[in-house]
Amino acid sequence: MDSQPPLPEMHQPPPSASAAVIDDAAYFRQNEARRLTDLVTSSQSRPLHVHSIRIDGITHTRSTLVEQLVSPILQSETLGDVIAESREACQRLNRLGVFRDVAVTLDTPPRGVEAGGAAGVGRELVDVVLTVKEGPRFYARTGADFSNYDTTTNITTKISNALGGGEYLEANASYAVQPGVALNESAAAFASETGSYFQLLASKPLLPTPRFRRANRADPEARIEVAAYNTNRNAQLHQSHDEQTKGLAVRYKTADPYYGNHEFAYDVAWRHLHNIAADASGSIRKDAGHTLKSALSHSFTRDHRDDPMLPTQGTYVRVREELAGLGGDVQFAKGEAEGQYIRNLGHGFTLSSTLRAGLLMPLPNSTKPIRVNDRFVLGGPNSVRGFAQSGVGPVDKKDSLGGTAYYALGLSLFAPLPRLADKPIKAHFFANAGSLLPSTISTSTTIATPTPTTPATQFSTLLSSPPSVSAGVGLAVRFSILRLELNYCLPLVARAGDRMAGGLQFGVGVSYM
Amino acid sequence: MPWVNPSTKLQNALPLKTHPAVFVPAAWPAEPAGVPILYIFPPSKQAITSVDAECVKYQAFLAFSNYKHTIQECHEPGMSPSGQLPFLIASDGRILTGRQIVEEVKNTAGDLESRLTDVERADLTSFTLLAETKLDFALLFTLWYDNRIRDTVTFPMYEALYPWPLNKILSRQIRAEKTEWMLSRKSVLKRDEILSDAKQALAALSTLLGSQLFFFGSKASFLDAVVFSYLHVILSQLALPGADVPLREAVMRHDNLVQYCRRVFNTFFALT
Amino acid sequence: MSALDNPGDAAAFELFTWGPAYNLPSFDPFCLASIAYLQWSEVRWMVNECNNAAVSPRGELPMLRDGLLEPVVGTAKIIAHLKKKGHDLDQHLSATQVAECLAYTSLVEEKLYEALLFSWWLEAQNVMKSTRPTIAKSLRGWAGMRIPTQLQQKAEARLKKYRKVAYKGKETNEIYVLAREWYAALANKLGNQQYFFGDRPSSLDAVVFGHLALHCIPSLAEPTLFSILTFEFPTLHAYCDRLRTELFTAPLRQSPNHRPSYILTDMLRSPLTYARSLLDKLSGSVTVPAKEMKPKERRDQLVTIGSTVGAIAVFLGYVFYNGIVEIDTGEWQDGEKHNEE
Repeated sequence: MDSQPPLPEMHQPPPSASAAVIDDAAYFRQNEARRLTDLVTSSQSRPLHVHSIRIDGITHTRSTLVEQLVSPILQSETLGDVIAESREACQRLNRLGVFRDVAVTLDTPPRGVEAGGAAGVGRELVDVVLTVKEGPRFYARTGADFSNYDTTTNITTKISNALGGGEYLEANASYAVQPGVALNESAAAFASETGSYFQLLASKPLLPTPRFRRANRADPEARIEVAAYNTNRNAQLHQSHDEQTKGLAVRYKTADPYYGNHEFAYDVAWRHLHNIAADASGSIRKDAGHTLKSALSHSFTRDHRDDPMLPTQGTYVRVREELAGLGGDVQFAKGEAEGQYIRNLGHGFTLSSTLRAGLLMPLPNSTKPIRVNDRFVLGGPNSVRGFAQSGVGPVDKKDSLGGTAYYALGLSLFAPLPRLADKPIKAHFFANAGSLLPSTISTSTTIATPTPTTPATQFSTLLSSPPSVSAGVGLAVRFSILRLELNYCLPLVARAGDRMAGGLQFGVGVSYM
Repeated sequence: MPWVNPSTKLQNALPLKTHPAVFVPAAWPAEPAGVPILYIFPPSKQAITSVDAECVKYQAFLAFSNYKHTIQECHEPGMSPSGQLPFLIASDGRILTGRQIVEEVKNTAGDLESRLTDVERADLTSFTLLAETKLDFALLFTLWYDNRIRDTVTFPMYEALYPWPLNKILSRQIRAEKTEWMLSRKSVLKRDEILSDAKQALAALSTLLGSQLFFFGSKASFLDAVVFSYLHVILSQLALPGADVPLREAVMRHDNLVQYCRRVFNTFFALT
Repeated sequence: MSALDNPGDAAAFELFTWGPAYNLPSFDPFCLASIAYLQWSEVRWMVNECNNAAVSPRGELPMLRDGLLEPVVGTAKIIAHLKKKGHDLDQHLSATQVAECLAYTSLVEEKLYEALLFSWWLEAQNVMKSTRPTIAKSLRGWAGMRIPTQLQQKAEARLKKYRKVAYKGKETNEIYVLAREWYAALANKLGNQQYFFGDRPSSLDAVVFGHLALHCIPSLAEPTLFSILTFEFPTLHAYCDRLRTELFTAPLRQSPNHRPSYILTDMLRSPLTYARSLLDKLSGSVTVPAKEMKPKERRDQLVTIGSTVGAIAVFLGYVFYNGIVEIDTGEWQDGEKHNEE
């Protein structure tokens, strides 16, 4: 077998490879690399078989798992197969989230090994050597975020590869410190809820058995997660209560960049609405107390936008359904959908259109009311601009009650600013409309009991009720983790009771309408 | 001419069109009568009086004063502004708890205690507090720390209100809260001491009542409401078949108190 | 009036109390009530201002030691014990009056005591300028730093249900509104009499004096109770002053067993007691909530504690055993900790 020329070394560059500085030696290396690549490409169909796979550098990861992920390489029959399967295997190992660096080397088998097998004499053999470097197992991060006039501090600790199979254990806690009183009117108009949040999460990847000559994309990776969480949400500003939630959730998630991500979850949550403000309305007061929600939910997201923060092209779909009622004393069926279509009009202009809708129905034969913490809210700088946070929809005294059916439309035109065409800041012209219907509350003085309706009647009522409309102009600035908007809003049509926030409105966040 | 901010002028002109509100909340209490509503802890089946002594207290006081009202059941003390049941919604929508209910009733339906002398009024205050501290303590202790009562009366009462497994967690949580409250008042909780305190209080009340109709003559007062509430709850809730509960036995020993309790119940709460 | 000096008489009662303040023998109203009762009953007795609740089996003061018998703790029990021994101030009361005595005693001990606690521990000005310095001075030494904090915490827990209300146009705490009602009840009961039940003192007078004497202190930073008493209930104020002069014309007989408590002498004399008082989370007239625990509950508690500690130990053991967190005792290698590019 010595007559064969030595096979070239293949090296999968680590993801964080930095650009090389161009100089003579580097130019020579680039040239050589290109020649090698051409050589390899032209000999794709050359018959080649794998003698063995060796994996170096595994300390904590289960070797059976790694072997399972790289086993299709063994079935290779040509050089092309070897290269393709090795690349797929490296992708799978990287996706495990455990390794910091994965490198593949092809080597000749040690002298004295005869090619055997049904093909007879002349079978070339190659050894595949995978060199991996495991990442750090313990990870801790603390941070402080300033947003919406309050300060949130958070801390996350994560143990990776806890049991050797790509599982991780994560604990994160976040505390919001809110100033005792809203700094001024505009701050109060858009300060969101604050509180504290603590979650303990255990996650395990469910890896499909890799198959020979089958791209990884065809079997999206899945994870199963078990989480326990404790949240304290302060909703005194707009809803005059505090909510404490303690819960357990089991989630099954699949992720595919092309076809979208699914998440199926079962969640048991103990919610406690307490600290009702002294001047709270009767509708909020009637919802005080303990409830147990046991719910199945499914959520689907597909994001094909080129940039989630300030997109110029693409589509975005998100659908979520939830069925609460297996045990517990909360029974409803909830569905929510959002679609976004963005079109590049050329010369830096972008037109973005969004539609959101949601419906919340009590289950048939159920007499349990739907409480304020399950209902939808509408309005604010991230949904219908020009209105205060939760400012659209049913209101009782000074509390936003939320509703059970809504739709919202948004149309935005982003234009480049003169002389700033290449910066991530754009002029923004928008028109938003939305309508939120209340849950059907009977006039008795007991806790609200929903009267039976069908989804069709709810939707027809929704469409026939006049929406709240606003329009305006402003600026949108894109940062790597969020988008900032500053708009001058004109609430054009409103319902009596809507809390308008005309004039300058400031928005911070990731998802906008 | 003062310069008006053009933005303010523009905003004042908006919105161009206002549609009627999407939701009009129902009046609380309901129109048109506006009858005040008293929210109490749910009574046991077929009973009118609540199982919670504090709620019975105010039910009785409203009944004595002939204050027109309706009753609504509510098992969530968080609904009340003070965190405790009962609470009253007056006809103009104010939510009142505790002493505010007494004042409201006195203002609207007349003062039951107007004809008492100063000394009698002083006695009213002190004996009311005697009952509210000693008897309430003994009742709380029996409800939550007497194992038979706890398992047959108290826990089932709370567990019926919530779904499993929340009811188990909540009943234990309520017990912990009550224990903490009791410990903030008395440093050591000893069954015998609490019981002997209650017995002394019952003896004092029995002496004060004597053979009268009510504690201060022939008309009822707030003290009657208080004493009746504790006696009624002790006699009706702590009735176990078989073995006798010490607190209930202590009450049974005072004949005039038992007769008094029965008489008040029959006059004001019996179903006709 | 007070017991004559009779050195070496060990047959006297010995009352262990909290120390003096505000020109009164004790700053604790329950101790003061017991002192008043003993003075009126004209027995031979001596006071031991021990300032240390650990001497009593229940961790509470006042405590009465009668010869070699088991000590009696708590004002109610002390009064009952003295009555059994034949020093009964309530002999002249009728049955109704006995009932009234019980009712008014509980009014004072439960409710007016809360008003006192509020004024002393929940009014910020008072806490900083009056209560803490006075009690610390009376206690002396280590306890003067530790005990006021505990008393304050206990008071806050007990009084958190009192909220602010509007009274006569001003916003005040509802406990002062209620205190006026309670004072009114006492004033109406007292009327023009010398004592509550005629012209001989009773146990109710001892209790009322013990508490009201401490309400009538003008030198507080915010003497709300004092001003209420002086301006709205002058009969009660006059009653307190009269009884104070009546009871304490001569100084009280001090117990020879009393030794002032300093940190070092405490530690040297009885290390165990000192250590125990250090470990007591609460002491004084508020004590460890050693409620009666059934064996099953004690076992449950031990199981809970044991399983929590065990779970934490298992978690830490797992972390260290698997090298997730390593305690590096080696030397710093040059460049080892830099990121590899």
